[in-house]
Amino acid sequence: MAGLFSIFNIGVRGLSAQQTALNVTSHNIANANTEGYSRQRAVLETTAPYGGNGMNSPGGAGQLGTGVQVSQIQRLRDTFLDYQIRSETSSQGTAQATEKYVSQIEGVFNEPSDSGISSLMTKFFSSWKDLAAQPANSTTRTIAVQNANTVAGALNTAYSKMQDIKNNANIDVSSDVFDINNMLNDIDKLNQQIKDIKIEGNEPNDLMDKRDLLLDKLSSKLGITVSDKDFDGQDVSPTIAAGSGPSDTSIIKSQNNQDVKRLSYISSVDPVPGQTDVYKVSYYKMGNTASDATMSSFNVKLDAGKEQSEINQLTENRVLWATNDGTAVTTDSSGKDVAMDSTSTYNFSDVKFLQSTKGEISGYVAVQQSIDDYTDQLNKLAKALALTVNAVESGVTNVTDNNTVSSSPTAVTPPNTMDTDYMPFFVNSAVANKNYASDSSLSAAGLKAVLDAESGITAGNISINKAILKDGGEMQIKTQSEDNSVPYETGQSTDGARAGAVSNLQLNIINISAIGSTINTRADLFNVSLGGNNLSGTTVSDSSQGMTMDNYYRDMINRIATEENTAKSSMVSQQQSLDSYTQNKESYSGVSMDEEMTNMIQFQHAYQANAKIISTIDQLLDVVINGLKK
Amino acid sequence: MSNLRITNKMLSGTFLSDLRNNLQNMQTIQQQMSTGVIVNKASDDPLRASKVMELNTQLAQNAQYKTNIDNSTNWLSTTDSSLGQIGTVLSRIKDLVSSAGNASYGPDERASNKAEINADIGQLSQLLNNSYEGQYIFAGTAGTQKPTITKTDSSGNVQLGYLDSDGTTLISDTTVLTSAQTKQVNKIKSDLSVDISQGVSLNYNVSAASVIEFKNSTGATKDLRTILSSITSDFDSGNTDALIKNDLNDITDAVNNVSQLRGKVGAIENRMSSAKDQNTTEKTNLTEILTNTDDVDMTQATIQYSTAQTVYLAALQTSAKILQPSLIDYLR
Repeated sequence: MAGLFSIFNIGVRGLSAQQTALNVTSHNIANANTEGYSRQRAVLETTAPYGGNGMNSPGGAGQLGTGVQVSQIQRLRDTFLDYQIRSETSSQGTAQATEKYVSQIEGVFNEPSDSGISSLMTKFFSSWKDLAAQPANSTTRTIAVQNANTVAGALNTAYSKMQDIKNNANIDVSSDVFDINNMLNDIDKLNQQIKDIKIEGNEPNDLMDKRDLLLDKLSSKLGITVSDKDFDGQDVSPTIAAGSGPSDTSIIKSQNNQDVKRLSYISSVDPVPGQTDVYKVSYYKMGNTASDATMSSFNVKLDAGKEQSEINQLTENRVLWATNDGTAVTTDSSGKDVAMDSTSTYNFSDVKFLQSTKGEISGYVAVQQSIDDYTDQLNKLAKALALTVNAVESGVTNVTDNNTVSSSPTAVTPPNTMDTDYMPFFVNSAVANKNYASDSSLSAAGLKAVLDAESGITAGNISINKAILKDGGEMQIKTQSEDNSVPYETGQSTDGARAGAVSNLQLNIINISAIGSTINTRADLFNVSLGGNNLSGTTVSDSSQGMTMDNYYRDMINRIATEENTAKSSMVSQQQSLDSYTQNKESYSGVSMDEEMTNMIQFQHAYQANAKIISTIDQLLDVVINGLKK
Repeated sequence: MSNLRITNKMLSGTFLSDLRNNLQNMQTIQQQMSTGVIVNKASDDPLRASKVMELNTQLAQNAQYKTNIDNSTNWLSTTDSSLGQIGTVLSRIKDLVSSAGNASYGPDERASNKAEINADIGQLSQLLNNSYEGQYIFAGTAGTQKPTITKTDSSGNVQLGYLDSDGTTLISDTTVLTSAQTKQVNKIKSDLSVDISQGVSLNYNVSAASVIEFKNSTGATKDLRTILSSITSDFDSGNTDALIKNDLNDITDAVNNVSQLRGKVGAIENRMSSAKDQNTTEKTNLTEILTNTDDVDMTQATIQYSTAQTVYLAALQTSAKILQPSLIDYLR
């Protein structure tokens, strides 16, 4: 028969169940503010009822209950919400990464402003107007030179700041790669632990919370797809552009957890001497930039005709797929993933870049492409300024085709033009600085080198010829109509027509966007058949296509501003979207203090009641044991 | 699946994100109010920023044109007064020439007239050598040097001529010009132009050559140097007939030429004056457009700010009342 002791047992079971429930409640309260915690609930169920045994079955009314037990400690988590939140977090990561850097790009130019490049260019051209009115006055000349120097300096600064921003973005990429690899290792450990515990039959609730938190953090950096496997194990792979990446893109595996990929970071791309279009790609395994011992490399042959865009891709998207130990990986012809060894030369299509579609990493990569685009536009502007001013100031539109630079040039009869420009105004400082003599003059060979390097002028190396910049050098500026017939400025008059033409360049339409593709040299820029301008005497005619330098610059700023505006509003709307999903998750998985308190009271009373049962049974037993027979 | 279950974290989360929005709003308005412009960074409003940049460029160009106009206006008024004085001197010479027809004039009077005429020729050259801000206004593009020079010849007559680039040689009406001298004279004859607004340039100088070499009303070419030397030599020789006929006509032509030149200068001055008016109007218009585009409406901004502030305070107060109490306070 059931007996008093079995009622005793029911009481004891009740006590321990309520105690467990209190334990869970206390765990919830303690973790109310823990990041990533999902509330737990002790699920109580009745223990197997007593249906009677064979011989002496009482055959009484139905089955007798035997008490309560905690069947499981349930973790309240909606995995669908997790999926949504991770997706939004990735998008948010992209938006944040983009906004972070585009706002820095905007800060480089700081327009609209009195000290911005737009104002400086206007001041530059204005000072040439003053020069046109008083060409013999050394003050107006000095001011024109100084303003030119300021513009060149501003362009140099903007260029180097853009390069700094690009480097910073690279550093962010490398530290993200390192963080991602570490997180993946942690997630993998948790994954295996969870599986082990689940196999034993227990619920690894807190470990799963930890794993989910890590996955959320990972999703901010890299868009991921999570698939559930047996025993609560999970497989993770990044969301990447279709067709990119190796055949097996898993970064976490539930089974065979060592057969996964990791990420490595390209540190530099250098040409291999002696071979055309072959570059050595050096990379840090696992993104560990701490020491060179973790560096490895491979050679890659670029496709003909696409060298620049492929180099750009290598330097913008610096994340490589790698094996578990960090060695770069490629897919061979049979579809198997093999490690790339450092002695072989691979085709560009063999290089497996991480082309993630979401997450901070994709933001940092995309922003580098933006930076490259804007730097390119700035370079075009600088080159347009340099080539047009040089050509109009000297009157010479061709300094590269078959020109010989004479060491003792003589004037020609007007209206003939000199054979080449003997005192170029803007020069490529990278080449010029190596060729200046101690008095800042250029020898014939030096001048030829400087003129040839004119097509390589960028915003980073545009500068004023030191012979003009030095004290007294301002008298070298050509201002007269017939100065195109003399090699050097000789004697001044009040004829400032040439200076006037230079100042009017601000209003000329110039084919700036073709610079770098169809237009490369001064001669190209003044070749009407290539869509350039025409210079005759001191009159510059507009090109048939293009825009003024002011408009081009303004256009560029407009694009940067729009991109920043879009990035900001994207970030704000992503944040709101993420907030709403987070609220939903909180609603389901979050700890409510009031609720826990209420539960606590419930369990407390139940505990007290069960304890009362025990003491009652104790009294009854006392009656039976001590009271029936004296 | 809306559970309608509200946890503490949800309440504080909502409060924090709303607070963030409020403060963001207030910061934007605050920045606009303290700088007075709507666009502080280009990304605040790209289209507006682009317009602002363009307007600023146009205003700067407008200011440059104004400087040009002001400078040339001063130059023109100097030219005008110089021409006036030249006209006076030439009239004086004309009077002296016409007085030669006076039958009562003897060789002494004629000699003294001639002396005065020589002095006047010297003054002519001085006037033609007038300068403005270091440039010789009648010297065309050779403005770093005086355009004219006088030399006294053996018979004590002053000869007027262009100054050669070497600074000493006199180019008279009879000199056979070398190529360098031709170049110098062409420079003196050339025009100076100035941009008074976009695509509009104006010639604003008068050359010494226009005073010296000109065509009279019948289209005959005259040269002042010839006229003056002819006057002085006729005085020397006592050729009264030539004086009161040819020389008087010639010098009258010269006076009329200078009046015409003055008239032209007057017309250009008028043109400059209207260009200046246009420039001022354009500046006013551009400034107004800039103000309308970029300036903050202070009244509106103040109202917006105080609204935002009210919202902020209300959020703080209600959240304080909601976030603080919990069941724990009420359990025994």
